[in-house]
Amino acid sequence: MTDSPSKAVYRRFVEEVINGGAVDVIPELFHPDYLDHSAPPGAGTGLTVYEQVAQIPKMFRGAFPDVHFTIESMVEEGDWIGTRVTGRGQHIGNTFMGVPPTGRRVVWTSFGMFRIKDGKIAEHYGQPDLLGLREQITQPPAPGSLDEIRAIVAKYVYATNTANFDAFDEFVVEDYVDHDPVPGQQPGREGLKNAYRAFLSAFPDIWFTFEDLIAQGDLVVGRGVIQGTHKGEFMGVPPSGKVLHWTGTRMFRVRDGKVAEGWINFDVMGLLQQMGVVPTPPAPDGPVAPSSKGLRGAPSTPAANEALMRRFIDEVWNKGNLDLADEVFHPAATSPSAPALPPGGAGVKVIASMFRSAFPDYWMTIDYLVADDEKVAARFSQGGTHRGDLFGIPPTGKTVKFTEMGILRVADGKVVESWYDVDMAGLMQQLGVGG
Amino acid sequence: MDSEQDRNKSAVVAMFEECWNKGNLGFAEEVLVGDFLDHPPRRLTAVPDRGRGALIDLVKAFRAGFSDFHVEMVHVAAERDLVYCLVRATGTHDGTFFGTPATGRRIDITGIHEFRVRNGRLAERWGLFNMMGLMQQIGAGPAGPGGAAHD
Repeated sequence: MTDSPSKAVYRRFVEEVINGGAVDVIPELFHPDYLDHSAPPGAGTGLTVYEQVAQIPKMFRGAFPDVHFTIESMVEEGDWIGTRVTGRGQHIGNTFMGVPPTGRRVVWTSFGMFRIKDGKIAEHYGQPDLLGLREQITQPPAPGSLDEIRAIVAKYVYATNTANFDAFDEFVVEDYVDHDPVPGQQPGREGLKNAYRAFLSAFPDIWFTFEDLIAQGDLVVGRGVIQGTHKGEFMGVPPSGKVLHWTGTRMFRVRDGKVAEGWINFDVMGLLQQMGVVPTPPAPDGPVAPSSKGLRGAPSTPAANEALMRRFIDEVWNKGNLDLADEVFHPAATSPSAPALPPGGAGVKVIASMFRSAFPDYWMTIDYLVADDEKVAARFSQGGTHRGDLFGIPPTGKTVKFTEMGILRVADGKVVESWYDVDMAGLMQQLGVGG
Repeated sequence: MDSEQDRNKSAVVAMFEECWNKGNLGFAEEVLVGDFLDHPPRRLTAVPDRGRGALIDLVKAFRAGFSDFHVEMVHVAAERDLVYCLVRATGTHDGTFFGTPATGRRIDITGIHEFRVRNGRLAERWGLFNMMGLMQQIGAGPAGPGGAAHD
């Protein structure tokens, strides 16, 4: 069903601004005379329309980085539309309504009445269920629950973002074990604090935005987008003054209410490229598929999602049964980690055949797996003998082994979105290239 | 001649006027269908009754806390079998409201409600008053999303 022009404007606001964070489209959707009767408490006065509207996604996405609104109902009469949406998100960003991040997954309803003028939103009344939302994030997690271990990791992330490393004593064990220490990282909790301090001295404004926390058993996986201004020496590279963005996926084991072990894969190559130390590969040409972030569907079960991941790795990556990718992936699925790949199974085939032809004896194992009803994450080991061209690197004959973290988001039984952090720096070092 | 949407709007306006403003709860039996379904906000999902009783109990709770509770229609929009209304509610906190004893304070809040109408009677409701604003106006509210409590 096609929306009327007024409903289409509202839908763009939800999908592009709230769900996508695309604040640059605000002037296309909001009238210069826009009047908000329900501005968030604490909102400044004398702001431009753009600044007023931009506060909404900033507030929600800041606290709930994966926030997603689903339009449940829309009514239009004359120049007014009424709307009801369901908001969903995980509280792993900023403090919200005075509550520091809890890791809690929340669901809330919000109503709106909008007046449309000249095809743009000119007036707004909003009624989000803020009390209901607040009740969900202030409810203490049940002891031994997944909410509890997600809450511990959310506290950990918040402490790193606020550089409150002393707080680690409360939720990290003293003999903490890091399975992927950064070069020079000392053992234990003190070594971990100092590793973060080293990042902080290189990037004084560093901020880890965790877009999800997936928990099962005693493991929690979190995937983050990290941003910082390169103002101090990092890995021997002098400060470039540039604002750098990179991704990382973290896994923790929580024992007796404290983080006891950690694993990480982060995009060291991307960092070195942005610092200008390693050449940046040319940007791929051709169209980029639209993001599949909005693809939603029925959740699955942790067991079904685990089975899906195991089948995908075994068949596609280990056995080379590439056509199975078309069955496992939704045709419009994209990966924010590789946005230039074609969508769906086609993109998976490109990358799998590239690695499998570079390493004819290619193998991949799932070392850890963490599944919930919407996502499945895994830590992989993989390797092989380099006998074919890889990213333009001619065969070296070297045998390599490197790690990776991957996350699949599942809806209606199909993978609709996926993320990967691969130890490319480790791979390149073993091949004797760069690093 | 009135359209179906005009009649649907009239049913919603009459329900607010009779039940909420006059406390005429008997009218609820008339204007709500027998299998009326209420969709309360999440915090109230512990309320076992989702039928007519849920709405009647809500009216009773508000009128017990604010004997002069008054709902005024600000804007009503209807399409298909749905009616949305933006309302302004005012009242004096002269009774106990969800555990908060009378403070004598005046409240002035907005709310948005959505109804599905079947054969001229209300069949489903979704909706919210600005409860956080209300609790803050009677001095019992938490901080807003900006961090600081406000009046």
